[in-house]
Amino acid sequence: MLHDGDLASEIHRLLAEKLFVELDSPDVDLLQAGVLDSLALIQLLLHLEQQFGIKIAVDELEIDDFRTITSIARLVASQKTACADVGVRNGVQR
Amino acid sequence: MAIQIRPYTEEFSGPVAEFNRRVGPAHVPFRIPETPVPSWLPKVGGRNIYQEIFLAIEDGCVRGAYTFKHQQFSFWGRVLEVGACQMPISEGVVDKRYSLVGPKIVNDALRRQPLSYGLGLGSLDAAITRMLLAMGWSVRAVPFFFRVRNGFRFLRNIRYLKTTVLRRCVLATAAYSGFGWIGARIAWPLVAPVAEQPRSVCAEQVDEFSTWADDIWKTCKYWYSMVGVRDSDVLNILYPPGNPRFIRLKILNNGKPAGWAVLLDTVMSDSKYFGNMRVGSIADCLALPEDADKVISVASQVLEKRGVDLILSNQSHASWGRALSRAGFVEGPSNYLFVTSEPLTELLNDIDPASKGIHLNRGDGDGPIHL
Repeated sequence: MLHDGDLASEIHRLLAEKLFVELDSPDVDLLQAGVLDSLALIQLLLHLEQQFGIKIAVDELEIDDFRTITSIARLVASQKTACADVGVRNGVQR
Repeated sequence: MAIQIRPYTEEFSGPVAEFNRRVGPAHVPFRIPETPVPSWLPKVGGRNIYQEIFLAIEDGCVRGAYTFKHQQFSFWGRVLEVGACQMPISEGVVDKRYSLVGPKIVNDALRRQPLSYGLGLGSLDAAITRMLLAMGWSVRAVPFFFRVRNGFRFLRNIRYLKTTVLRRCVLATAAYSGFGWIGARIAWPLVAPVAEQPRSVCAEQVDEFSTWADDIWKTCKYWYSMVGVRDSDVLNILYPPGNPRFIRLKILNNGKPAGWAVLLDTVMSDSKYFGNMRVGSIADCLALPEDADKVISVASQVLEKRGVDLILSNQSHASWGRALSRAGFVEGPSNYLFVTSEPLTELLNDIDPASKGIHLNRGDGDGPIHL
């Protein structure tokens, strides 16, 4: 399982490789810096879902979830936990 | 910071005005209306076609909006509710902190009606189109057709061609040298013979649609994979009796109603695209696909007799496109895009994989201002 630091590094790499966004620190405010418009946000969501095997519901998102790499890592970690919980529940039901 | 999407109510008129001021610098082509009741297609009585405006609210501030058109469509005769997400706007255009508002708006529209579409949008490069595509929506262009009736005025006024100094000079020279007609005909193959219409076909201008239009609808709905319901009730809502802007034609074949068309004849004034031309458009029409020729031919003749410089039409269905070509129209680049949500795309792929039977035109768009 990835730790928070590993997750942040993975997201940092993903932003650079897929969205061509280079950041100096995981705490740079992505929105203030103007690097994430609505299209980039959707593309980031899709990449996160693909990379980490999670499902992110746009309805439940808040903009603060995407403010920094650290906050994105927190979001991914919580979604991974939620997905794992659903998996366990489904396993028990079976 | 929580964004909530809710119906537009009177209390938000002030925050909407403030929103419009804030997004002003982005030069978006539209604003959120400053009253909650849409001026076009308000929700009245038991109408099946109406619009609602929804706002994205954050702590009492408006951060975005969209208009949702509720409408029924027939899919090879099976009538279903469909939604059109129109004029979405987000504060993200001026402040990227609100970039999530756009996707939330689209999601809200989908939650209200999974079978949703957008029509128009501008171009494949437009931010809204790219965002919808990234969210899994599909896009098709609704073909655009035009026919030049006055070469001189066309060459003098058409603006989207005048993108370089050289082109401007060539067009101005052609127009003033008396070669306007020739220029227009060389530039576009308008010399193609126009199919003649049998004398049995004629048009009658009507003030409103009535039971004859219902009969046409009942026959035609089975012949299109997707077509907006166009019975007389809907037609009289879309093109209200008494509104002189709409030219409503009943097309008769051997004295019997075979179809109808709604035309516009607009004198442009310093228009971004058409300068000061008199532009005719075949905005909406319906008949059996095999009768498309009759409707297009007669509708074009009516506009010609009125003296328009140019006739335009957007038609998605192959039979209507062929009818336009046979009437001397030329297909041009289309920026009139039809985008469909994943559920609507799946439905269309199931019933009409090649999308040949979809009948859409300007009548399915976002209102008379864009016709």
